[in-house]
Amino acid sequence: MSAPHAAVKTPRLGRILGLPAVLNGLALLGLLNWPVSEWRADRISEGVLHYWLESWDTDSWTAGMAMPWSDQRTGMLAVSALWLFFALLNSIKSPLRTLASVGLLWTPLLVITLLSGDVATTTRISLSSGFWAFAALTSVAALTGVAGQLKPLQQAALVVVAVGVLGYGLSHELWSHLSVVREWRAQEDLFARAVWEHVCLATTTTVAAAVVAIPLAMWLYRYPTNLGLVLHFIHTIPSLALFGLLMLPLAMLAHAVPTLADWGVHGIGVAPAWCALFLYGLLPMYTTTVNGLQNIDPAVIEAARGMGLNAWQRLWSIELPLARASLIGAVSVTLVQLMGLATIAALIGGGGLGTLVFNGIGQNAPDLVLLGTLAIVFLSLVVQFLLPLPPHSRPVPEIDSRAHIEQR
Amino acid sequence: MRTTPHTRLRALAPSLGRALAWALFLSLVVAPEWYRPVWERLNDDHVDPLYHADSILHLTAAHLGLSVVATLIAAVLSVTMAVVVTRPALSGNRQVAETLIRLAQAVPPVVVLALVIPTLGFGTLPTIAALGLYGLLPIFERTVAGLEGISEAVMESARGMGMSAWQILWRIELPLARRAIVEGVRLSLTVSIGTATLGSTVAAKSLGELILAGLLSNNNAYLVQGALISGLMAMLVYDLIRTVEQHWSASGR
Amino acid sequence: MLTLNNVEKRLQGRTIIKPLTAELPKGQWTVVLGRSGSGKSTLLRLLNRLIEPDAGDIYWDGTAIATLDPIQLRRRIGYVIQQFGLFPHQTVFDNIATVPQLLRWTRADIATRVRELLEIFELPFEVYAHRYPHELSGGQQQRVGVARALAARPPLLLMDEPFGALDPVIRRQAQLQLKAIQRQLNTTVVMVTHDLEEAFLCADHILVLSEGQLIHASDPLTLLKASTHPEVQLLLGSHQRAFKILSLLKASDVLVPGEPPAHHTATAVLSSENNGADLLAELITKPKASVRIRRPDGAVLGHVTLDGLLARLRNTH
Repeated sequence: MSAPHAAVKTPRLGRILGLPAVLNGLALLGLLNWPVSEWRADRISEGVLHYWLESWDTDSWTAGMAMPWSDQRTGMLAVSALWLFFALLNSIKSPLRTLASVGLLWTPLLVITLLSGDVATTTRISLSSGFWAFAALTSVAALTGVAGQLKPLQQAALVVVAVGVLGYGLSHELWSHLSVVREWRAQEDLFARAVWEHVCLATTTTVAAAVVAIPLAMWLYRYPTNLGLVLHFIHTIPSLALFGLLMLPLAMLAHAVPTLADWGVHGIGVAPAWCALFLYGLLPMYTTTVNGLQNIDPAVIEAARGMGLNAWQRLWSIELPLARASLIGAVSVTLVQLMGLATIAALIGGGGLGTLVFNGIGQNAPDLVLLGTLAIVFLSLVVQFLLPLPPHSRPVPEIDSRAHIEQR
Repeated sequence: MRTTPHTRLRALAPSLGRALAWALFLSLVVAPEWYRPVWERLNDDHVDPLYHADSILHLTAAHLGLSVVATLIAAVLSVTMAVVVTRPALSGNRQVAETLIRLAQAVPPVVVLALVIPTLGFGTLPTIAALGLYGLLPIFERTVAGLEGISEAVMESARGMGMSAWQILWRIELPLARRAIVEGVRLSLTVSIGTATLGSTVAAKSLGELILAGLLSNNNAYLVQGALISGLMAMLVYDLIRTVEQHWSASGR
Repeated sequence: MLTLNNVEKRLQGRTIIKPLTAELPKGQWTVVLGRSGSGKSTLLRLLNRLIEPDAGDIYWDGTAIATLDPIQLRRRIGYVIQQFGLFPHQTVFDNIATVPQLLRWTRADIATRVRELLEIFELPFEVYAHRYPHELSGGQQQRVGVARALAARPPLLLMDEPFGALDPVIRRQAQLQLKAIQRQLNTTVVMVTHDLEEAFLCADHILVLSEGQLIHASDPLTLLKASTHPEVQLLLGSHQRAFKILSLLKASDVLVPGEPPAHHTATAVLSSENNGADLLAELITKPKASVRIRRPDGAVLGHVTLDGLLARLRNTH
């Protein structure tokens, strides 16, 4: 029965954290090994790849336009030292870890700023794999230090500062050589209009879906219905297909009722896109609301009935207030989904940021695609930030119920 | 309760509907010519309603293949991450994992497709990447919920009996979370089938080719065929997995 | 023999177990008795290293358990908890076979052992071996839980309120049955409970815990007669002493061998494991009655009369 083994005691590895250290290490490797940027004379010429270490020796990189430092080398030293400092603190368990991680999040931006040195005015600089690998890996490492550590006020402050810095940088031409910024400048109006169309499309369809689906949910949630199944079926139709399928009936409708055509309802364009998005929005709106309503403690409703509240009163004073978080969550989930789907509207002439993406693909201009992408992701994150997710999709309670059983 | 013809019919309805759907789906894919008269009515005169650039069977198979491969990859990744995140020692990483996966979901597949073109080129690879990323969240969320829903008493007695952490994972946790995982995979696969149509915008073989062709050349028959087949496929796969899982559960557990 | 030497445990700043020294005799049933929050469950978990002590040592037959591989250790110890923790996705057979499988017994040996256990616990193999936990009643689940713990013939069995989830009706039966089994197998048992009756029924040795401290350690009778600690008095409720002693007396201690006197009307037949309270309940309404006593395997040992019982009670007190 007793077979003495050596005591199994996990050695103390010191305070070095495995994951962030590895990520930062890989980030550095990526930055040093792979090309960090590509320079083109104009949009269609061949690009010349540049490497990070190369910048140290090259004379052609002289003082930048708005650089606070006198030459490229000082800039490189400064940024490298800063990154090293933050990355080290990020990889070690220390009270400064959170602060250092926030700092680490800014380093990719500093690198970008550094890369746009003094060049001929038409030169366009695209960011390459070396930079992307670096930015992605070090950002994830920074995230491990930041996730869950910042209070909402601090998060909001961070966002405000970020927006401020971006605004300042753009207006002061800090990054004008970046291909992405070039694409934007080239068609600022088009971009603005695309953003507006995209936002309008997504929000109006969400509101419409809410107006239809939420009352339906409130009415039907107590009974087993097939409505969920029907909506699910609609949802499984590929988006592209649904857009396409709606074009035909709408064209026929516009044909039959000319006044509708005057109002902008055609076979192509916004109308089929709008209808498709609306139909897609019904499912998440409906099911999330139903879930929220079904999660209300039946005892509460029983008590309300017993006290003599009629159906309307129960709805207004009990059910809706209790399901409020789910309702907001339903709108949030739907809006995020529709914001993403609206990208496809461009394929049938519905406008929106998808036009930049698809134009970019067609013209072989990856930075145009990048511009569209950044805008879409930014909008998506804004929505997720402003509108919280529904309660039941939140992670399970923070307290680990197994905490009382220690690991060996 | 008396079984009237009415109730018997209602009980049979799902199986009947299923059989019809399968019949419709298979015939549309294998023998599209049968429906020529129907498609002809949708098009203007003399516009051929049947697609000739490729066989619909081939497109359907490629479409299914893309979705399945992407979902498999997403499943392996998500389940691994879910397991990692539910280990008490590693639970600190949970916020990060969730944030990353939510981010992956926030970027619409179309955009992911477009973004990975410079690195992965055109065709199958970027499509699988885009579909895979989008399919991570449903599986991850559900696996985590499944693993965390295991009763404390079961975990405690498993540890108390002398099972190692790996043994507990393999013999207890994963089998008990199986239902949740399969549900996530089912959802992910269905969404993938829907989204795979977009792969045709980057020249991957899928039913989207049919739809795009229809959009570009104003051929309504193509549109309807593409939409119908992909929609049916998604539904039938959803239904199939659910039936299989129900049988699986009924036999044990 | 289990020895605890100045064992301490702190959790989240609070001291759950203050420096505690105790001995748990081999082959005997030790009950750790205490109210909720007394630290008794924590103490149990220290024994199979689900929790590690912050100070002190624990020895099992002379070896410090801290030097053993915890997983191997646990496979040599049976562990039963209040909610049973049966694996819902496995059959009764597979549940019971768990530790033997971990120990790599042959299939044949495992099958034999499972049959053996199901028979001991009165769950016919043909009916129950392939059922799933959710198809069993609470009492049956509890029995499977204990069978599972005994599957690999562990020399030590740890139990945390194992009868707590059972209906009062079946609880007594389950306690008696397990006690009989333990006597047969000579397993060392450590059981945690807050139920006094249960402690007195089952225990050969009692440790009383209060707020993490050991305030009494002895056999049940001594505890009843000699303890003056206020906490023990609280647990016992001194004015009930006589009835407590009744529950300590075993039928086998009180019986008179042979058949009851002719003029008595024999009533029920009880087991030698039943206690004085059970006997009193049977006899009290029928003064000229006797109760036959038999062993668990059926052999008749003797009988008990009311007079005999009362005489014995006075002697003991």
